[in-house]
Amino acid sequence: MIRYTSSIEKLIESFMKLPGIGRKTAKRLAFHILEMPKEKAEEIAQSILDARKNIITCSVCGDLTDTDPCRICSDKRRDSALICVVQEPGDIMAMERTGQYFGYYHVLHGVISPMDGIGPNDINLKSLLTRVSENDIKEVILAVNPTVEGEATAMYISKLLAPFGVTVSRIAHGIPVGSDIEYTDEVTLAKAIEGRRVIR
Amino acid sequence: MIVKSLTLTNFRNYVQQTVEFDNGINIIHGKNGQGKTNILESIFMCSAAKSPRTSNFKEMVNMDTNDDFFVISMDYSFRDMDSNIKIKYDNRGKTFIYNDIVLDKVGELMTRFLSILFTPEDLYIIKGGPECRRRFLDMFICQVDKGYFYLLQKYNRLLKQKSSCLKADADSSEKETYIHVLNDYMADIGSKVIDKRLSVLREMKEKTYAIHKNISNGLEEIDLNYVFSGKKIDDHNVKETMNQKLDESLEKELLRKVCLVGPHRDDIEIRINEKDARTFGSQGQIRTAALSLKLCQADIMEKKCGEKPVVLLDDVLSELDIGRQRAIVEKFQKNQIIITCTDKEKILENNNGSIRYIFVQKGKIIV
Repeated sequence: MIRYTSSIEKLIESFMKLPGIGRKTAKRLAFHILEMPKEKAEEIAQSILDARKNIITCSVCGDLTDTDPCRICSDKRRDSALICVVQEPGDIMAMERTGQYFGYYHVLHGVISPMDGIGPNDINLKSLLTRVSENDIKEVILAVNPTVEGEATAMYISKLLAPFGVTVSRIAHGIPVGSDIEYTDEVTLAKAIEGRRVIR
Repeated sequence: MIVKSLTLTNFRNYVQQTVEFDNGINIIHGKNGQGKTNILESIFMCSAAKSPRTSNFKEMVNMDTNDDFFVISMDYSFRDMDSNIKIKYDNRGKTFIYNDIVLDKVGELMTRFLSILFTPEDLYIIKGGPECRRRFLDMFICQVDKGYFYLLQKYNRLLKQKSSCLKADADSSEKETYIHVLNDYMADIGSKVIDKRLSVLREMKEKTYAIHKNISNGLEEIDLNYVFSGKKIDDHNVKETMNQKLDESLEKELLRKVCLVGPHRDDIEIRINEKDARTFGSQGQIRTAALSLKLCQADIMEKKCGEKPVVLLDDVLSELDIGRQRAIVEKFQKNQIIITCTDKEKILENNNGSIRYIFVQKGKIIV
């Protein structure tokens, strides 16, 4: 049996290490790169190297950034009394797109999940406590995902923050705006009923 | 609810086989090991999304062919509507399909089709360990209540997280605080699980009592009680009780590194004439008790869903005397019944209604 030359095989295997990429896709990507003009391929390689070299985690909030502190943390116009806790760096962009939030952020880089070997000390939590104790924070908004692990992590954080006397809130979850009650699944709808609000 | 036809592909000892059913009584007969029960198993899976025999779908793939998949496809009518359920399994996993729509969650299959299965193993509901009774109750509630299925899923997830956390080697103050948090969360979800079980059990208690008294000719009184952490409880302050118990047991749990409190450790106590049926019940009593419980579930199912479930009798009639056989068939006069047996002559000797006979031999239906 003839195998791929080792450098091709290595390239395929490197792609396979990326999330959501199986052998088939990895093979396609590898051959696509080999068909490219040499400069284009080098550009890709270079941009990976550059990103790895320049991007660091912000020492304040934990977001990925090229300056420390990051652009959001060094923006003095923001509301310094608010911190929004998110699970992943990508979540910040989602929150920013709303245009409704003007406070600061804190990125956990995951949620507590002992099943996957992630304990309370394995996420970016200690620095949140320092931030809350050293600054004049009024409210911490927990915007973690509504999974079992997300909920448990939120409850854990709120327990840790209890001594500081700050308001700890959890973003609402329920029926997506613009959708129909009829087509909402039972679990979501039950959540929405649980989190209902008095309007009068 | 009527099963019209069933097509099995690569399932158990079937390669490719379609079976049609009548609205009334259907008797599947044939020698041992020919594949009678496999038919009932596949029909039951359409209502519970699980097999009563195994949790491993791979075991159900036909071993004599080289393929590594199976398909169950069942046509049935529910509220005068013709529907179809397909269960597919291949190396990518299991897929549940309802009327050609792929269901994204297993829970979505629940309540679309209802069946109740009587098997000789039902004795273990009484004789077996607590896990048999929990499984019996949980599977039943899931069939009639989708919400319970999701609740249970959530609870089991929490349970896994907690036990992994308990087993994680480093003992630290963070770990303990996190376990406290998990305990609060588990008390919340766990008490909801217990509440649901209690309310179903309360309904079963009265009905089973009446049914059991009837089949035992007025001689036996059956009583069901929910046992939480070794104590009987009623629906009063379940959450508080569970919270308290979790607190009390924390030290022990940390020491033994297992989750000791919660619905996953509970039991249902079954008493006949005030004696524990598990330890003191005679063979006959146990058999009758299991039968009463199942009959009672059929009643509740019908009440909850407004339609009669399909009754699957796996080789149970032959174990009962003529009187009880008739009691069952009479009770389910209006249900569709599918029966398996080895000897078709012996059962339902004096039944006047029409019966469809289905003969099974080596994974094939012989007409």
